[in-house]
Amino acid sequence: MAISTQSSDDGNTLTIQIVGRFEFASHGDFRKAYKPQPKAGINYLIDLSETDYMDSSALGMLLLIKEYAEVNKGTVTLLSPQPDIEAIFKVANFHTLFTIKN
Amino acid sequence: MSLAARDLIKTNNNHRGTALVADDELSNRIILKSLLKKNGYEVIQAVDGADAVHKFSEKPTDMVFMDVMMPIMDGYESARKIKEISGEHFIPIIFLTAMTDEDALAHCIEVGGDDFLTKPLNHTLLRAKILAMERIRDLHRDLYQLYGRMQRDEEIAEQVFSNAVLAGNVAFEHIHSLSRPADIFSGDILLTSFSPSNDLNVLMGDFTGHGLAAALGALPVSEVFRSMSTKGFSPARILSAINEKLANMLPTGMFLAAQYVTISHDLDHITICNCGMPDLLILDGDNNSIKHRVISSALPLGIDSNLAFHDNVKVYFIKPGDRILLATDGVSEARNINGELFGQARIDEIVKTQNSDSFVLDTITKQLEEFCGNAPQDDDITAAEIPCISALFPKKELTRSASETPHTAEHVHSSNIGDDVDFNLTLRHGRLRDANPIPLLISYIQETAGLDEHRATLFTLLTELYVNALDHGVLGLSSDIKETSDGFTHYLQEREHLLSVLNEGSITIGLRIEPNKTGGKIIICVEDSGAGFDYKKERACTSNTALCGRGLMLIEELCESLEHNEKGNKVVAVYSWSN
Repeated sequence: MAISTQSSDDGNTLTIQIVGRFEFASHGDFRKAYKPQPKAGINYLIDLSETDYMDSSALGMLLLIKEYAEVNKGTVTLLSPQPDIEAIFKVANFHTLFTIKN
Repeated sequence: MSLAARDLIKTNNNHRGTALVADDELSNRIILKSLLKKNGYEVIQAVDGADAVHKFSEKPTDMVFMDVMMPIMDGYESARKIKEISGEHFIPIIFLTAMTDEDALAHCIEVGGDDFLTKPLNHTLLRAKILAMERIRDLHRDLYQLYGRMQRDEEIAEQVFSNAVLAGNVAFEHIHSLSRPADIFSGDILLTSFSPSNDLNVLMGDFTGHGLAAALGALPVSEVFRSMSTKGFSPARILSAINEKLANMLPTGMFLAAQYVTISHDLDHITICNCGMPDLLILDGDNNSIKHRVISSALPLGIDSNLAFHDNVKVYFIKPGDRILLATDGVSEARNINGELFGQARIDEIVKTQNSDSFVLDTITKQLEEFCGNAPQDDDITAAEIPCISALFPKKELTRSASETPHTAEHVHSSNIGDDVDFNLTLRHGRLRDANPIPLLISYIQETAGLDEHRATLFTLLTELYVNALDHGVLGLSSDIKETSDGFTHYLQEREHLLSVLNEGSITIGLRIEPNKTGGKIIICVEDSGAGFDYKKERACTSNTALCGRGLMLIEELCESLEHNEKGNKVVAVYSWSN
């Protein structure tokens, strides 16, 4: 599991990429990646293209960042989940809560 | 001992503890003793390894200084024995050695020693080692105490958990289940309960994460599930209530995926809602083929407090012998040593090849064990297989009213005796669309009069009377529609349509509970705003099926008396009980 972040030049978009397993142990690193942010209205892109495992705690973390973003007038978009991860989103009905882009 | 008190003792150089000094040379013992005394230690002396073990076992000391080469028993052997005696308590052993042989020094640590000092002794070094050892000892003691407290807490929590959550379960003698927590505590739950009409409600849930934190949510869930289930609420209402409770209670990011199943007591149909769980399978009892696969159609519980579950609850017809297979994702996502998943496909394959007179779950359990081997378990594993058989349900005949002199509708309103309780409830307009007052009435009767053993009958009575008032009274549906075979479906469609456009009408339900010395009676009065009906003709109907005759025969059978007013929009039923 490795989490890296990249901010766009104007600072309005923060991409958080999770490589490998996204699970309970990622909790601390994931929180550090998005919080606290210097300004409101940031759009978070969660890059899942290299994520190959996700447990229910990870779903919980996505709900946490969604809550944080909404309080700060921002948005969260989930990017390019692999088929296994997409299936998990489908079972949990997360497409009703998040924008998922391929 | 409080931390402050311990600090006080630490800074007090006069009483830091007792040290055992084992050395066969008197001069060495005397030098070390004087140095230790300067550092606040009382000293006990031993002349060889065996003597040290003997003295330590008589009176354990706080620290041990051990020479290596001694007669009778050397320092290595002696240290090993002392460590054995001290067990879980950390007693630092510092070897005193003139050796510079690295292997010998390493051996000191291997046999259980914690550090070593080379002779001749240097006072500054000795003092530093004592401080370091005391620090490690304190850490060890804190950890040991914390661990003990954690174990106690977990034992208490486990008792609360099994008393509050698991002890209330019913029908478990017929349900095959598999429960393999990843931790002492499982974040998975399996709850069962009977409704007043003896339908079996089952909830299998999986909280985010595992361990104690995940298990905490099980308490409120089981409470809401049981109390609403025994009062007769519908699956959608129970799920809504649990969802709302969890959304308000759990921190964001924690939720409960759940499979909810209600099996009707006549084994005619099951009602299912899958909220964020893997596929639920309904298996044909004859050949084990998968009759229905119920995939997740709703968000897990506890995320959005405003969800309604009506649209996600589905009804499937079954026949006796069919089986229901429930499982958390711990089963399909179990990993083997190479990191491969067990997978839903493997489960489907087992189902397909399984002999229909044995349990699928037993094979799944066996194959899961073989598949996972010694691989670490990531998540709680829970599954259950429920055979749809009549043995699941309690063999209770509906209680009948005790017989007494009949009452008339007028009598109800003129009687006025001692400790009676009256309860009136009126539902109007749109309220009639989505309210179900029966659970409320049942719980009112139970709180007022108890009557546990009569609950199922009273539930049936009230339900029949209320449904009659709503369907035939307010909505004006004729029960004739039901008489043809697809008439029942047509009836339900018509009913749904009329309910959706309903904007007038009312139903008033009155309950009078009259306890007396030998028992008592409940008088149920239901009046609707409808045009009334020809009850004489209806009551003459001889066929006693649910599809005909407004269930009046059933009602008459159960209660002591049943009276309609002339118009046919008001009915009074009397139910008596004796103590």
